[in-house]
Amino acid sequence: MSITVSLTLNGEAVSAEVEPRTLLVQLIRDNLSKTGTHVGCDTSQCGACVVHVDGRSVKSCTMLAVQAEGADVTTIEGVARNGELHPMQAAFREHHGLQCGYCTPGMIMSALDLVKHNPDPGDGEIREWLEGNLCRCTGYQNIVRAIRAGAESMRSGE
Amino acid sequence: MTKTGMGAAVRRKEDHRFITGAGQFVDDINRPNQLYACFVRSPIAHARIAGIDASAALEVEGVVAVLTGADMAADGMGGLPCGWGIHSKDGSPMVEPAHPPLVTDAVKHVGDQVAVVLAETRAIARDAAEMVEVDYDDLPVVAGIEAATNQEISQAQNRMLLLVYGAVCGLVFVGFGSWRAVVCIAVPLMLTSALCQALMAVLGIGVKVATLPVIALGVGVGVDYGIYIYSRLSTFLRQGMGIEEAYRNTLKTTGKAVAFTGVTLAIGVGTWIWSPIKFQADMGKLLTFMFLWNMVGALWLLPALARYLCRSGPSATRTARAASAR
Repeated sequence: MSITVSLTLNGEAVSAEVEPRTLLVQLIRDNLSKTGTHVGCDTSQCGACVVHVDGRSVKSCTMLAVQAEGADVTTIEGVARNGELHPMQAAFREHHGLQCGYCTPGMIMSALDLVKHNPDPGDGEIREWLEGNLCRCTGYQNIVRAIRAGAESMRSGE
Repeated sequence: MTKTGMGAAVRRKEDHRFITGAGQFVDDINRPNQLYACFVRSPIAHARIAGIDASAALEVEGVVAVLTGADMAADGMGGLPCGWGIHSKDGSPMVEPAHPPLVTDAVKHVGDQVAVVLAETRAIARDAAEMVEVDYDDLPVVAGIEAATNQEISQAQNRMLLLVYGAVCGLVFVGFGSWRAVVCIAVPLMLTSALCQALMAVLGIGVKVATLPVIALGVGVGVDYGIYIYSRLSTFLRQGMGIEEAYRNTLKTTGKAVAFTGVTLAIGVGTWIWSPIKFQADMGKLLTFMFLWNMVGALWLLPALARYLCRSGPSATRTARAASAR
């Protein structure tokens, strides 16, 4: 048995035939071929699969694809506009907020949701917010620094 | 920090693709007709694999193969090689146990790979992996460094006891020049050691690094008592006393000292029994028992053995010979 799911992905209307048990991350990666969203743990702990669903950050391995019917989904591929890096992306590069890059899409998507709630987050608030995002290159120090800098650029409207 | 030249931060060339979601990781590779693998993993720590039944999994539509360690061995595939072998200080090569990707005989940890299911989709591979039936025969498990150490110790203990008793018997024989002395002194000691182990079993105190010295200490203290008592007893006998009289006199003299020492030592360590630290409390129980029981052994069992071994007690032959010479 399969079911049709239609949603908006990075501003584009898409639809796919999936099994009802398909997870949102599988739909995004396997059916819609956007592999920037990663599966790190399969158990909702690592946050490598974070995407935005209707503007809220969500672990896409913890949501069924059918639950995203009609939703507006943004993945890491939809963050840069017209080839221009988003200030948060630029800050991650500038402050060496990544090594292997596996957790980075999830980190950036989480950070963007944080800044939406709190335009000027402190180190403590950033660390608390990143509780659900694991980095195994142990790069938290620079990730926190990058998010502060990214938030600052976003405030100044760069 | 300078902006250019020495000490300047250098931007990584690969970062752009990672922060835009264009990185290419193994899981991102998607080729036409590719297959998906799902591993069947052991839910238990140590077990012999008695059998693997993959028939149900193989019937699932979309399953291409179920491979096991036996299949890999049949294909002559070896273990995972060590990437960088090093030599020991003495130049001997590194110990490199076989590390097959799929186990061939026994699983050695939870999550050890038993089989791999290859299927057309990830979901089918997972479903089929759950249908592979593995028959496990449980094997003993050593969980943690302490457990491993303790296992090693329980083997070392027997060697240690053998050496301790070897030394005690040897020295007593040299000192007294009589096998009767060896028996009289060593048998009560061995009884104490055996009873101590029984007590540990009853109290649920396992053989640990910490309990090893207790047994050695028990033997050390016990042998003192035995030597004092035996030596005094044989002196009295040599003076021509009968065994009963010699025993009574021994109790009045050295016996008193031994009883006093044993009881005082036992009271000292006995107070540990109420220690909130479990290790100290356990040591208290064991040492109290050993000090008291060694005392009983020396004062009671030793003379009894002496009485049994030689009609008229230790060194009777020599005493008789001395008497007749007189």
